[in-house]
Amino acid sequence: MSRVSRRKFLAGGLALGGGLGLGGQDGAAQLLIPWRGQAAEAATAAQPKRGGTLVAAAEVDPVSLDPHTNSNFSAAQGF
Amino acid sequence: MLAQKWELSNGGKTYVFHLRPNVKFHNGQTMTAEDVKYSVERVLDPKSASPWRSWFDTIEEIKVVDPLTVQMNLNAPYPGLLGSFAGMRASGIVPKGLAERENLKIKAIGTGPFKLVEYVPQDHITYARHPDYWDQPLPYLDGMTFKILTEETARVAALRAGQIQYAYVNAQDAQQLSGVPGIKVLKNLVASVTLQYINVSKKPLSDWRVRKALRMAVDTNEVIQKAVFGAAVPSGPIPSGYGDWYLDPKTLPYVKPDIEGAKKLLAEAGYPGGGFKIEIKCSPQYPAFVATALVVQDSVKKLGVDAQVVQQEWGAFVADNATVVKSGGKEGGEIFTSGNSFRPDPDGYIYPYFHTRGSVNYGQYSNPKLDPLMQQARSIFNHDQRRSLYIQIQRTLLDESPNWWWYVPYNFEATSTRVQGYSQSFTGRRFLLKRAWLGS
Repeated sequence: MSRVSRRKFLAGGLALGGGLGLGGQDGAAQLLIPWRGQAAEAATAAQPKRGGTLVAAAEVDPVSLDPHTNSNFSAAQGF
Repeated sequence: MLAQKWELSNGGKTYVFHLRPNVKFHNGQTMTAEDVKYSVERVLDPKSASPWRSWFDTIEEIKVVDPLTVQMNLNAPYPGLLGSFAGMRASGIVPKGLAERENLKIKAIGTGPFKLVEYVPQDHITYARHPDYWDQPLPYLDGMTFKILTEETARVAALRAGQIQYAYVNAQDAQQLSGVPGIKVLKNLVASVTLQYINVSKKPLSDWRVRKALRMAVDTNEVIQKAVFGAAVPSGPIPSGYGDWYLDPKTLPYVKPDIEGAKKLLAEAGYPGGGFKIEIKCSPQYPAFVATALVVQDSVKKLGVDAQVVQQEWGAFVADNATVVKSGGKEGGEIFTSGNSFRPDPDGYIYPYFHTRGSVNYGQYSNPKLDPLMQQARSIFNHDQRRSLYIQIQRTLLDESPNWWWYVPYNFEATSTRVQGYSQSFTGRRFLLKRAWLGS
């Protein structure tokens, strides 16, 4: 019985997003808007603090919350 | 991960999953192998009409070995199966019998970091911290309230006013917000392809030369500029940036328009000077999709083709899209502007949509020469052989144009600077909110 390790699985199946550098686009269309925003947040040195409620916007009203029978992206936003 | 470890045997046809002990559902019940069996079988049940069936359809039998061990016997090797379980879509494990007891359109019980408190359509969704979440000490937040703000301007105004602390925004607003005190903007490429599904059941779109000619008339960079303000990368069927499975954007055909070539191809198909009408559906829920449809409409005019753009409420759009599949292409519509968001395996962008038996073959496309290649690509474990097949399949699909693929967008998320610990995901999912916390 051969075991597929989690590391091997992740390397083989889900090694994603590494091919195109942000802003570089591998020679494809350039990002036409000059970007002044911040890069993805680096790991913060501060200690996480428990508590509080995040108030956020949902850009889509889910058609359904059923994960098994619904294909639209909005359904997957539930936690 | 709800499975702590797994074993693969029998030439890739038997998986044994060992579940994490003492995982609690949001209702306090302990998750067992029976719940896993129920959840997966629900996806596979034809009565569910699950669009995700293709992710699991190699599973022939699910056996509960003991409360924490479940065995799945496949009818063919499927290297994408582990990805299917990691895909955050149909892999949601719910308590056995839940769908028979609750209306899952508005209720949810899972094992995730937040539990649903209330969903009021068109208004808000409220979540509370799942106190028994298996991956302690996560989550850090006590809860989350998502106000349903479908208008971009409303989201941006709420952010600026400090009424909300997190939102998706478009590239233009991201640029405007990036210098605003108290707001930070995150940006990343996501594994989501904006595209148009084409119902290939009826003339003239049943002819690949017509589909290809119309595609050749459109400038991909114009689509990108008008739809997402330039913040995207051209893409083929598998999203640009998706491991090494995608076609190099530099090698994609039709990025630049070829009007003369398109006219010639249309004439070969029996439509010199165009002279026919097509209908393109889209939803204003997604302004980028509407803009994409309008560029296509404008472009195909140059071929003498009259494209009508029909804007629909999102629910009606989704229903019409499903009608095409249910009616075998007889009803529902001709062209649908949408997107294929993150799929956990390259197979997810190909087989379900283009194999004759695919579960979301929205366009009713069928190619007897391509079917066995798609079957083979999803059945072998050798990475290089799989990759070679997927490259070949994508090239054929581009040539036959059962979809028109446009771009992979950048994802912009704006948050209050109080929001700490959150990072974006190439999946486009915001599941990493489970690591977010509020600073002072």
